Amino acid sequence: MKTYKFQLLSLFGALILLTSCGNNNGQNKSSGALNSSNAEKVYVAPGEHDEFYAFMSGGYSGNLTVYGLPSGRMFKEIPVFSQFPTSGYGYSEETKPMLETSHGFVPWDDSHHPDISQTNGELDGRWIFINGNNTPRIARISLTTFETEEIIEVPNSAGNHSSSFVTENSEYVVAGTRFSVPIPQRDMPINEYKGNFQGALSFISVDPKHGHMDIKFQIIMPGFNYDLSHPGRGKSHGWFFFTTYNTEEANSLQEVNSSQNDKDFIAAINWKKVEEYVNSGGGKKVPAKYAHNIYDEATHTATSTMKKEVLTVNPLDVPGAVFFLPTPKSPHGCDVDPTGNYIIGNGKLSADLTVHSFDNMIAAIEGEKFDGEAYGIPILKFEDVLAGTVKSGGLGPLHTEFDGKGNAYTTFFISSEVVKWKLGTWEVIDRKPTYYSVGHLMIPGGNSRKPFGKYVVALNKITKDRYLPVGPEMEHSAQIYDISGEKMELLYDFPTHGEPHYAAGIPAELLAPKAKKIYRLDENKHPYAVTSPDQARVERKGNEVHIYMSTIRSHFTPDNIEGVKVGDKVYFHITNHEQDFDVPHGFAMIGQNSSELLIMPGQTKSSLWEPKQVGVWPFYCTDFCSALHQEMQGYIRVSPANSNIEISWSLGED
Amino acid sequence: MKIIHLFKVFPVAVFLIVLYSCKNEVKEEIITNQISTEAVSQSQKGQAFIEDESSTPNVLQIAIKSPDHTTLVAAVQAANLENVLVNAGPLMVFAPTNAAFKALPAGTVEDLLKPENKEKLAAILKHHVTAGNYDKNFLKNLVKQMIQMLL
Repeated sequence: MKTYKFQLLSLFGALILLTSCGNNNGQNKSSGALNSSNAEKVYVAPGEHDEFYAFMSGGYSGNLTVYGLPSGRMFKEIPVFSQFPTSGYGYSEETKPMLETSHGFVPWDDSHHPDISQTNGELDGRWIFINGNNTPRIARISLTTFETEEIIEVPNSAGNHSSSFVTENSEYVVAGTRFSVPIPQRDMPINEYKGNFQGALSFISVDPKHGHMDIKFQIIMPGFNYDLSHPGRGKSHGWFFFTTYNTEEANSLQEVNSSQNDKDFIAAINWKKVEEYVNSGGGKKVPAKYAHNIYDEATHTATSTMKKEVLTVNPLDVPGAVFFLPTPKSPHGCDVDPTGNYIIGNGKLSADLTVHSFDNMIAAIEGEKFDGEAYGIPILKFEDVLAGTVKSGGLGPLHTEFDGKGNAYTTFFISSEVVKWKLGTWEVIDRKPTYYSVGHLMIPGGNSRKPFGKYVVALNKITKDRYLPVGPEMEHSAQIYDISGEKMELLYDFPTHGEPHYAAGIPAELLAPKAKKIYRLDENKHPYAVTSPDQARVERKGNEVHIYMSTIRSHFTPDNIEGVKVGDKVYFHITNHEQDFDVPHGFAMIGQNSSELLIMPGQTKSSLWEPKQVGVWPFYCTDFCSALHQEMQGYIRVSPANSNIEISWSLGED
Repeated sequence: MKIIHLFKVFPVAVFLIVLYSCKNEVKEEIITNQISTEAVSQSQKGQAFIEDESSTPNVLQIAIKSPDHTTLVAAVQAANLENVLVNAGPLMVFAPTNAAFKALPAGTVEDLLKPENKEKLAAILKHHVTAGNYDKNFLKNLVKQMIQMLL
């Protein structure tokens, strides 16, 4: 019976195939799997390159993944907030300081919203920033080495979610707290939240030359939840907009208690005004403890500094700097269109989108048309600032991106769709399903002055049946749509790693030519580097043994070491002497309570081994570097703690 | 004949001719650098063609810059072997100079450079490459040992 059914089905399928072949001759309009042009649109032939880079946040992986668009191929996972045994990030002596915080070593975080640095409101491809949500941190990643260069902790913050978005000239990367907390932290009853907890919005300055970050000031706001944010641009440059929810200031069962108010707020912050106030001596320095970790490319080493104070600003001290724009239904996404005039608040419990007008807002402020205040901060009248409402017919709007051609694209979590609508007329032009429960979406440059409106990628939260099942835990899925035409066209599905929240895309031509190929050995300033094999040596300092080792295809120098004893702390300092693109060497030591090291050409990395057992123990190269990779190994003789065997080392001697 | 080590360039080691020259009779011939343009355009892809100002020059880039190896380079290009030569290796290339090619019987090189002989040319060129990481002293000792065996 089953076979019969199957045969019938195949026959039927074949018939469809035949008819559709005939139909396709006459018309272009076809959809689904038989539309071969969709395949062509995402097909990047072997050896060819993608048109865009897409940087997807790793969510609970704590990292950042790099994909190509339109192919959906993953190129790299960049370790940011999480230890990464693949490269030794967070395990090597050089990178352990990157994960230091005021709470000590925190080897994981929840990375959310990558944003690429901008100049004049356009992507400049110098750095990408991303927030750690759990133990509040902001990271800066180089877009030449594609490595994390800096992490700054954000004090007075918790659930660092309305982060890490950059202003139009990367003056600031901004981090807002999702969870309000006692500021400063103190021992107090939780149910005294209301009126006592506060929310910090942190403006972190970015050095225009090196990108180094420094918390310039924190605005201490009422105890709401600051959910998402985006900078003003063009005419609204100088302002920053944050959605809020839980203006009820509930401290328990928030799924009910934070949805009581019909409207929450978008907080509009005139940061230029606050900056002037601070530059002329305003604000209050308060004690705080937060780590600032910087990786130096020349020494290949990170250092961690604990900062002791932060400058805070009471918004009431800067009149005209902070206003609340009423926005319905616990708004989530807060997006600003390329012209800078429209501020879109997506009420996640609503069917409609609220669009505020910057011009209206300025007029209302100038006319002092206020509708009361909250904790002294003026509330503007909803009707005065509203530009329009998009009657979408969807459910659960979350985030909006722009194509630079006057259109906006909004995700709907509950109804699992992307809706395209027109700025100004608010009419819905198209809607396409996503699979399933889409969160953010991304158009390269889609939240800048200059979007590259060719593709939109939907980042879905739920995968279910989209791929072959792999047990209860599955990767998330992304869908790429062609948005070059009037209607969106679903092109392709691909899995993504971790839980991508937001993503940032940029044309490949802006990054690829400046991607670093090797680190120059003659520029290596690592204190334990050996720049030629004859400098390789082993030194004992008490119970510390420092092995200055070099690697080149296909040996370690030295590869025979004696005189190490049980109880020693053995530091391997390994310099890769290759100066060829894509020839890393790996290093792994049997029984080492750590990860491997993967050392790039010209780089030095160190790791600690504490031998516990007498014997002769091998180490080897973990990267298949050459045809003689299997020969790339060595031995360390470990003698008893009371042995008097002197340190010695060799290579190629009998 | 020159040895171009994957990492370093070695000076001429004349004795290697004994080991690696062809059995054919030696005659003088002028070799033109004619290469099939089709072969070139096909071969312009892959790891040998990455624009890279920062890495140390590889064996192919060294050969291209050498005025004594123009015939070899032309032959490598005709045989589409560029990507093989810059592989992670370790490879040692026994690189015949232009003079060595000239010593081949008349017409040999022209014949090998014809598109239909591409595979034959590739096979011959691959016999000038050996996998391994041998230094000059190792090779000298090897030659000594071989000569002793012959005596």
